[in-house]
Amino acid sequence: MRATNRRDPPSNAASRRPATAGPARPDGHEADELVRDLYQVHALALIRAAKLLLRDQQSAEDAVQDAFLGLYQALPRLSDHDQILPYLRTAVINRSRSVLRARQRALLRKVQHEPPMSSAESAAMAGEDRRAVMAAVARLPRRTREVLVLRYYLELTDQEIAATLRVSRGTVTSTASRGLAALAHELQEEL
Amino acid sequence: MSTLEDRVRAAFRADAETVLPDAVPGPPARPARSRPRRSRPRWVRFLIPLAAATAVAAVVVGVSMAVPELRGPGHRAGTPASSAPFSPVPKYPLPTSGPLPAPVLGAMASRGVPASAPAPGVPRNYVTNESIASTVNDQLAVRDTATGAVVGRISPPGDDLFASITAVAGDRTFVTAVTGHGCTDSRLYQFRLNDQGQPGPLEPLHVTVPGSISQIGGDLAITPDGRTIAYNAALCGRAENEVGVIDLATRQVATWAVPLDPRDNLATQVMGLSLSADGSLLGFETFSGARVLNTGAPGGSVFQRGRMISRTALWAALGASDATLYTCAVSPDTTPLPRTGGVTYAAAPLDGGQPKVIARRTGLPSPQCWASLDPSGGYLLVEYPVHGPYPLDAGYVRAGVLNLRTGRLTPTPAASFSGPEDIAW
Repeated sequence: MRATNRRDPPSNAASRRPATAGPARPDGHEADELVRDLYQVHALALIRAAKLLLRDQQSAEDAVQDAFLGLYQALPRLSDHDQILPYLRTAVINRSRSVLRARQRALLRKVQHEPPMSSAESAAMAGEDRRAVMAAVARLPRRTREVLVLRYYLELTDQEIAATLRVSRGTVTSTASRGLAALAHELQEEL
Repeated sequence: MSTLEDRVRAAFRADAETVLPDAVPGPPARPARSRPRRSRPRWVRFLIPLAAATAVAAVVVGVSMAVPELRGPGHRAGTPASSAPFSPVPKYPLPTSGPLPAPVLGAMASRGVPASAPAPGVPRNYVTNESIASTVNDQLAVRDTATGAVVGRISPPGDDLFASITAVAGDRTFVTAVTGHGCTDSRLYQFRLNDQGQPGPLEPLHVTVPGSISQIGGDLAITPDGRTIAYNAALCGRAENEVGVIDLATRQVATWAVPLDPRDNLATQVMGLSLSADGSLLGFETFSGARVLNTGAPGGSVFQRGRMISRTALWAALGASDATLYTCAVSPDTTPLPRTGGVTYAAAPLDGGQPKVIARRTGLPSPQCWASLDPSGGYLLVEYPVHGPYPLDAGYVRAGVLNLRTGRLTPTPAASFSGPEDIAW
C-alpha cells in the first residue's frame, strides 16, 4: 500500500480546473464536488500524517475532517487551485497543534490523554525497530516532528515544508538536521 | 541518503499504514449556510472594536489606579510601564570610523545586578524566538530570568519572520535576523531592553545576508563589543550554504562555503555558531563534531578550514568513548565548550591542552543545542525539552540557567513554551 503524496500524477482534484479559469468562485454544488474529490485523493495521506503527529487515529481523522470543513469557508479565498493542497496541509498541522495544546493543558491539570489502545494484531505487526524509531521521534520537539513527518512521510521538499509550516527554508533544514542528530543519539546510530 | 533516514522513512510508512483506507470516514458535508446577515454599515463595524478597546483601557487604567503595587516606585498613575526611558542604542554596533568602542564587559559589572536576578552575574532578562508559538505568531518574547514571565514582545516588520537571535553580552542589546517565508535574503536588526526589560523599537542595521537564516538557535553570533557578527545562511537555489563574518566597523564580510552533500544535505549542516570575544575565532558544530575557524583566513569551505576539536581527547575527559558531541560555545577566554548528550559540559582549550569536564547534568532529557553564555562565561542559558508522563506531549521547552562552576541547573519557574527556538541573553 502506498500513501498518496505530492508525487502523484497531476490528476489530483485540485488541478482539474483549467488554469485559465481564473479565481475560483465555486458555487455550492461545485464546492461539494471539489471538496469530495480532494477528500478522496488526499484524505488518507493526511490522516496518516496527522496520526504520525498525534499518535491517535481518531484525533487524526478529526483533524483532517476539520481541515476539509474549513476548506469550504476558505475556497472563495483560494484564487489559485494550486494553493488548495498546501492550505489543507497547513490546516491539518494547525489542527494537530491544537490537539497537542489541549493535551498539554490536560497534562498540566494532571488529566492524561489516553490514546486508543492498538489492537493486539497491530501491536504484533509493529517491528521492534519501528517502535524504537517512533518512540524516539515522539520525544522530539513538536516542530521537529512536524518537519520530519512532512519530509519523510509526505516527501515534501524543504521549500514546500517551509510554506506549510510558514517558516523559512533555513529553519526547515536546521530543524531536520537537529532532529536527525537527536534521533541518531537516541538510536545510537552514526549519521 | 543515510541509513537513519531510511529507518525513519520506513517507520513512518509502517506506522501510517496502520490507518487502513477502509477506515477513513466519508468526506464532511458542507456546513449549512447560515441565514445571510444584513451587512452592517461600515462605521458600525469600526465602532464595535473601538468600544471594546475603550472598555479594556478603562479597566486597565482603573485597576492600575487602585492597586499601588502595579504602579511601581515613582511611577505616576496612568503612565504605561513601557514608557520607561530607553538607554540610547549604543553606537558601537554601527561604527563607521574611528577607534573601536570599549568592550561592554566591564560596564556590566559596574551597573550592578537587579535584586530579582537569580544569582549575581546572571542577566536579568533573556529573549526567545517564539515565532512558532501556538497562539502568538512571529514574535520575540522578552522573559524575566528569575520568573520566566514574559515582560515584553516584539513583532517583526510586515509579514516577515524573526530568524535567529543573538545578544551583545551584558549590554541588553540584541541582534536578530528577519527573513521572509520560504527562501529569501535576511536582514539584520537590533533592539535594546530598558531597565524593566521592555524592548525598544527594532532598528535596521542595514545589513542584508544573501540567504535564509533559520529561526532556530545558533545561526547568528556577535562579539561582546558588538563589532563582529557571524551568520549561517541557506543560499536559495544553490548547492551550498554560507557562513560569513561581518565586521560592522569596516563593513567587510569574510565568507566560507558550506558545500551540501547532494545525497544527504543534512549531514553537512553547520549549526551553533559562536564567536570568541575578539572575533578571531568562530566555533561551530557539525554532525562530525565541533570545529573552530580562524576568521582572519576567509575562503574555501568550513570543513577544510575549520579545525576539529579532538573528539578523542573529549571522550577521554568524559570517560565515554561513544558520547555524541553537541554544540559548542566559545567563552570569552576563547575556550570552546562542547557538550555531550545534554548532560555533560566540557571545556577544550584551543591550545591543545587537555579537555576537562566542567558540569554534569543527569536530569536533562534528550539534548538540545540552544544555549547562550553570559558575559562572564560562568553561566549558560539553556533550553531543554519538557517531557511529561505522556511522551507525545513533548514539544515544549523550558529555559534554565546552568552554573558552569557548580554544575547546578536552575530552571525558570514559568510555564514551558513552544519550541525549540533560539534563545539569548
